[in-house]
Amino acid sequence: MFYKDTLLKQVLKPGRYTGGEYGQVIKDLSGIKCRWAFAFPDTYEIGMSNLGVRILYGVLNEQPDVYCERTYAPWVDMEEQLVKYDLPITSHETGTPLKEFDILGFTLQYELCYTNVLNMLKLSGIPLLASERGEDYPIVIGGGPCSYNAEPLADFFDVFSIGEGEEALPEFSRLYINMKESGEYTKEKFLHEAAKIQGFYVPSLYDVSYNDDGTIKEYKPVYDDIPKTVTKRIIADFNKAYFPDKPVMPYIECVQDRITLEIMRGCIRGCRFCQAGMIYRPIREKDAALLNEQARRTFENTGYDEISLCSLSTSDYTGLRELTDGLLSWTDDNMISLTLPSLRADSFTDELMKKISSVRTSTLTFAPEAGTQRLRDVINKNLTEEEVLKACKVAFSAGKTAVKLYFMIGHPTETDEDIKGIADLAKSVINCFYETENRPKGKPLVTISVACFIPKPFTAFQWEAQDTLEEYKRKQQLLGSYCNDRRIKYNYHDADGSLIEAVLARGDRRLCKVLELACERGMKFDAWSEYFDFNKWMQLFTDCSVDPAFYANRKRSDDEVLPWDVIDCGVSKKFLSNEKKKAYEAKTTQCCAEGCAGCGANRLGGENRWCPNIKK
Amino acid sequence: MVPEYKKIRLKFQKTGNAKFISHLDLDRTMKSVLTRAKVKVEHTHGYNPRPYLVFSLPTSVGTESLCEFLDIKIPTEDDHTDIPERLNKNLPPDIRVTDVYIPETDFKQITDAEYKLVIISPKITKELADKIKPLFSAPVFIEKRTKKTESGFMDFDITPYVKSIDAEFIKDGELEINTVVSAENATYINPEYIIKALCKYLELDLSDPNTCLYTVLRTNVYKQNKETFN
Ligand code: SF4
Repeated sequence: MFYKDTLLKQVLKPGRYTGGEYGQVIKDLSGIKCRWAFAFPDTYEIGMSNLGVRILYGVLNEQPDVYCERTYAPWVDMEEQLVKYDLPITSHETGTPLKEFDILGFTLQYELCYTNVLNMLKLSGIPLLASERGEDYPIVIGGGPCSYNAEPLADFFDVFSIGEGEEALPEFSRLYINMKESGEYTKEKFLHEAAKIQGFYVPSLYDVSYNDDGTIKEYKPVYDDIPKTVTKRIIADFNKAYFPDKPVMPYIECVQDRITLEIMRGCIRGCRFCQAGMIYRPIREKDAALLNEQARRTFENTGYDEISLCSLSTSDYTGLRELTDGLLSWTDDNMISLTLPSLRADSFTDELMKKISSVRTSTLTFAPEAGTQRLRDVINKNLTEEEVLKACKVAFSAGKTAVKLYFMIGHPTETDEDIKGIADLAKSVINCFYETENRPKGKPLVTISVACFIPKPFTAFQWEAQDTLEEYKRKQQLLGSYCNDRRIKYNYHDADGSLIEAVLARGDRRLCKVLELACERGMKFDAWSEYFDFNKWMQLFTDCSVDPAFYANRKRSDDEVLPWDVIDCGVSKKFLSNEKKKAYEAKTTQCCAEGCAGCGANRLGGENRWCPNIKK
Repeated sequence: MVPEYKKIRLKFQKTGNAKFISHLDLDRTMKSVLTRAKVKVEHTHGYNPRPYLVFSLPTSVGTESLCEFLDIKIPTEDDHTDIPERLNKNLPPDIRVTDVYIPETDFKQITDAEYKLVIISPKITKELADKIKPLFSAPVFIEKRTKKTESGFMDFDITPYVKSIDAEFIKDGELEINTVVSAENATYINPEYIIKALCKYLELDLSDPNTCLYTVLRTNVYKQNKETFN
């Protein structure tokens, strides 16, 4: 006998583990031919807020013979109980141990969750190495933004889903069911077949060889009938994409208890440091009237009192006015507030300000990302100081006294002049407050939040060296010395974590042994500052004879084979290297709305406003 | 025109998984459920209007209940008889609204609450069960968190708050206890304290999920003269 309640009485926030929420999907197992456990390798509160999980949970459960359940990383107190009483992690819906599922999917949102992925396998009694998991264990599949270079996890996963999963995962399930029913199924045969479907990367089917200097020589498929590079999947018509209008309603408070409306995929901008801006291309917008209808339906199904418009750059959505007008025609009466994150400063107008403050407002945030015009041109932010100040003026005249500005330090070509520029811009914003005639009473407060640049795959800066820790710390202090005004609040991110992220982001398969050892040493929740331990990571690198600088601080040449060259995200390597050259010359590139820059993502097709059509 | 509102009382149960949600989360859940069920409720006034919900005597996390009450105000002209049905359609299965009516009492009138406690443990025997009742005729101390002492704990005698306690031996390994404890604001005690006391005095350890379980179920609430509160 096992009493779950007894376990739950000994942990914080038992509501994380109960399941039984309103809206969860319960199915009769007798008709089910493929059982998925969808695992989110962080806490329940974060996982339940994730739009991608909501979508895929809904998409898979739409299939009558597929059943997808949810599971999350147990918090450390729960893990302690599980270990003490020798209990496995189970699914929320039916309490089934993860080991018993057909397919176990992990969503990979950030590099620092990798230790949690392995820890969840360990706590489920599933061997970490894919090669050691026989036919009886589930197929372990990964997806999400990190799967574009998941090589540091290659040994642990059977397969990665590259790109958008709405159509790909049902197709994958169908292949599984068909092969099982026809009796052809073995894991090996199945993975071979899966590797032939667009968007599925089976790492064990690609051999990697290395040069003497440690760089990669070649990726070689082991079969002739699987592609040399795996092309990502996209949803061609975003208006027809599945929309989760009846999400599971968590009992406990989550990070985002609100309706999330994804208004478009992809970004027309092309900031040179931004991975999301590249991997989600081509840009596809959703129809404003459809969004309004979906919002309405979700409201009726959830009772949430907030709608958040989500995209990489909300103000670039061409139907923004129509959509906000449409939403405001019924949201006000129902006391629903509207939030618009990811607003560009150059699009911030009185009209928008009025709309978003109609019920409730928060601090306004803009992201100039760099302190000087030269450096903003290098990163292709396409934003002037004047535009930032104009946006702040709008905010001040609407009664705000505080604004928040996001920056990054460590961009390629950065000098101390650029660091000083951050403080100068903050000071200009303060002056702008006093120059605003109808400003509110009181003193202004400008918060500058400064992150460390992390070079990411599939960006123009994918070849760049990250600043060393010493350099980051020096720059952080230098900026601190310029922020000598009490009306400026200066926050900066810890550089240590950025180094580990940089290593994992551009890592290759030789990092698998580092992660394996990390799991053995009980490391987990590295995205949580209270559990992240930099020294432990450095010790791991030493013990595995891995030089973190090789991955983080080394500048790659244009012709180096990169670990993610085996993936085709649509945007071409040639475009990226050209963007890098332009960065060095501080030359900007027009955004897609001004004219196509030829990134190559239109090769993937899709219904969209900006990309020129390519005849297939 | 400002609409006129009437106060209505919802009686509901909270069992199974729902016992693990905190009072705050119950409040949030009920708010969204009322919205989903399109029950118009009076909102607080001001900058950030919120629906106006008043709960009686919250249970603590882990406690099930057959008799929870929630007062809301709805427009006078609105029919309230179909509200339980509408809410139940929108509630998770472990929360059920069982009744709705215009209240004639005030939550302040609640004096006591009755609980059924079930303990499952291999250590339960008839002998052990017989020890429980006499136990409460002398002071029974538990450790309680406090800010008053340096250690952060103090010994606290729960007997004055336990109005009645009755232990019934079901079978080896299973014990049922019915108890009435004070529920007045100043002297309210959490029935979990009784479990705590039993663990201490009878040397029970109920933390092993492979063998032990205890459940706490609120079965009734009373006003003066032990009349059922409604
Ligand atoms: S193909 Fe042209 S328009 Fe389309 S995303 Fe790329 S650069 Fe923009």
